[in-house]
Amino acid sequence: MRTFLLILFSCSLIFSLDLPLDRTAILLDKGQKEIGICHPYRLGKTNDVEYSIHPILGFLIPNFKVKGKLLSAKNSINSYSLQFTYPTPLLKLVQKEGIGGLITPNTAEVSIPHIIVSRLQILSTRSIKENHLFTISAGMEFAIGFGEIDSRITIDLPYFFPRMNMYNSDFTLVTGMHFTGPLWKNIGYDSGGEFKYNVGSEQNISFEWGDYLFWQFKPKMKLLLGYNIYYAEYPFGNQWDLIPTVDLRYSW
Amino acid sequence: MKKISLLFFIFFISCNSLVTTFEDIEPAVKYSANNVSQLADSTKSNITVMTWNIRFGAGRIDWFGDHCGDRVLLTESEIKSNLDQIIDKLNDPDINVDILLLQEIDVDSKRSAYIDQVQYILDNTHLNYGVFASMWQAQVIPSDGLGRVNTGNAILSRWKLDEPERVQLDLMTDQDALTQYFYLRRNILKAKVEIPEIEPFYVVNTHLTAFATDSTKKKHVEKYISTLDEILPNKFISGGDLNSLPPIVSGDSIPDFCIKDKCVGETFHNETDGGPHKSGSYFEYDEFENDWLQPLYDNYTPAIPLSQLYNDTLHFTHSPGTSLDLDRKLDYLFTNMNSMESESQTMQQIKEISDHVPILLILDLSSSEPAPMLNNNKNLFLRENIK
Repeated sequence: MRTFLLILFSCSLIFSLDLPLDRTAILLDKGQKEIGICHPYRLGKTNDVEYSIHPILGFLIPNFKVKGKLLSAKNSINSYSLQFTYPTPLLKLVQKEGIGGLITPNTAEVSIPHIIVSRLQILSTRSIKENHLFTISAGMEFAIGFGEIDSRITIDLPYFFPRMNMYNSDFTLVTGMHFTGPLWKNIGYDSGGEFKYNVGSEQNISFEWGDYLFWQFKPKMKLLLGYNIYYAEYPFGNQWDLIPTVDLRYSW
Repeated sequence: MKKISLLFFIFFISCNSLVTTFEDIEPAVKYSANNVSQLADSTKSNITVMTWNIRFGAGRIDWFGDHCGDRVLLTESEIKSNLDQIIDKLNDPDINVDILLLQEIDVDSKRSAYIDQVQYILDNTHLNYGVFASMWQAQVIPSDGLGRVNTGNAILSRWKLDEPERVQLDLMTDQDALTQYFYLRRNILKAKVEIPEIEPFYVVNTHLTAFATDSTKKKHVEKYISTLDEILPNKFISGGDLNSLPPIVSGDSIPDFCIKDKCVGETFHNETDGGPHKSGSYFEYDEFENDWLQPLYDNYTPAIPLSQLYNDTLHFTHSPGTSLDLDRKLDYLFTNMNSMESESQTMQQIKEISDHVPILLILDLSSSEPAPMLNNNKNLFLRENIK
């Protein structure tokens, strides 16, 4: 463990490069913070616990994630994350007539009850080669609806559907992997994805993978450029999508 | 702000286009039944052609988009129930349709439970082959919860359909760019029917604009007529939902459909003021609008001649929404082949399965001579006796 952290520390000294660690098992240090445009606000509460929340989205879709350290092995760091999301206000916002209506405004067709989504995940990160990190993860997602949820509630688009399909599933199994490391000077890569299997749904499988190059152009700022690939079984059939993504992150 | 958000949304999903656009002319989508019957190899001298706007299998359910309803997403059982009624009619031995022109048929729409209605009808009738041209295809319509949509025109046939072609019609210009981007892209669908031992002929199906307040409908009618003219001297059967009233007698008046069709809380023009009008229910944006179809009656044989439309409500084909009181004719069939006019029908008895009723025409293929041109039957149609 100490060796591993030493490698990580020396890596950051040599390359002056902070790897994006949000999808790894590594936690922020106490008092350390990070935020991005498409990225939640993360706070190192203690050296063993990290909180994160999407501050702007939080008004529309209240959410909270806690990540905590687990017993680590010689060559790996392990942690858990537990996330709660309350999507009901956002769903009600887009259940409307006219432009912006993504869910039928007819409440006899689709009524939106209170829904709480929870996600529990175990992550394990180890160093591969020198300065490069590899993470595997596994977990489960549950959605608890306080009322009947019509299957037509879903927005049948990439990114949205795999997250909403679970409202009508018993539970979702999630497994993922992630790689990050330096490439050249203050440029690195951040690559990873998740496979989901919905149990108790007509559409079982979804998959997301994102590849980014990041440029740490200031000690505390990173620009990420890349794309996400989405595949899912939708009610109309299976579909692949590729969506370009840009993000700016600031840490302090 | 809403528009900026939507533009951002479009960019966000830009790598897999949100809306499908089309070339001016491109191949249509081909279909065939899961089990092609032997009838596909047989020949007939008299064939029955039907045109029917089936309203995506919504029946008379009060769907929000075309009348006063509040329904948006119908259930699979609702759609299948209506489709099965359509199929029962198509399988009726007394009707025995050989070639079917369908409008508003969904193949991949959330509003109709994602049922591929072309395939569903082919698989459950004696019809074997189909071609489809989309008039509205989008991953999402971000309005009113419509979601994904793919709807359009189809031609189904007992016999093989060759050279399927989708001809793009002009887009409406009385909309802002964002609305136009997500709006309908209407078309003319054309295919050649290959009947054994019979000279091939064309089938042309269309669904013209209903809601344009500019010159779009005129352009659509002109394009439709020119498409038929270009087929000459070959033979064709053509029709669809032209969203236009038949030619009218000078001095006669068109009923005030704006008032007839208005929903609770809506107000439109009265007899003295000039507007506003209810789009889709007003047929006089252009003072010559009711002459636009005249060339079709002048040059081709209609399923229902103007002389039969005279002083008669028996050939009205449409009433909006839940109303079963058919009150206007919007659907037509024309041909330059010999037809058995006495056998042609406006099937008003089938008015609960869609907001349009089908029209039937029997073609006589035993004669190779095209039908004589009709005389100009203008001024025979009166609509004073609308119920």
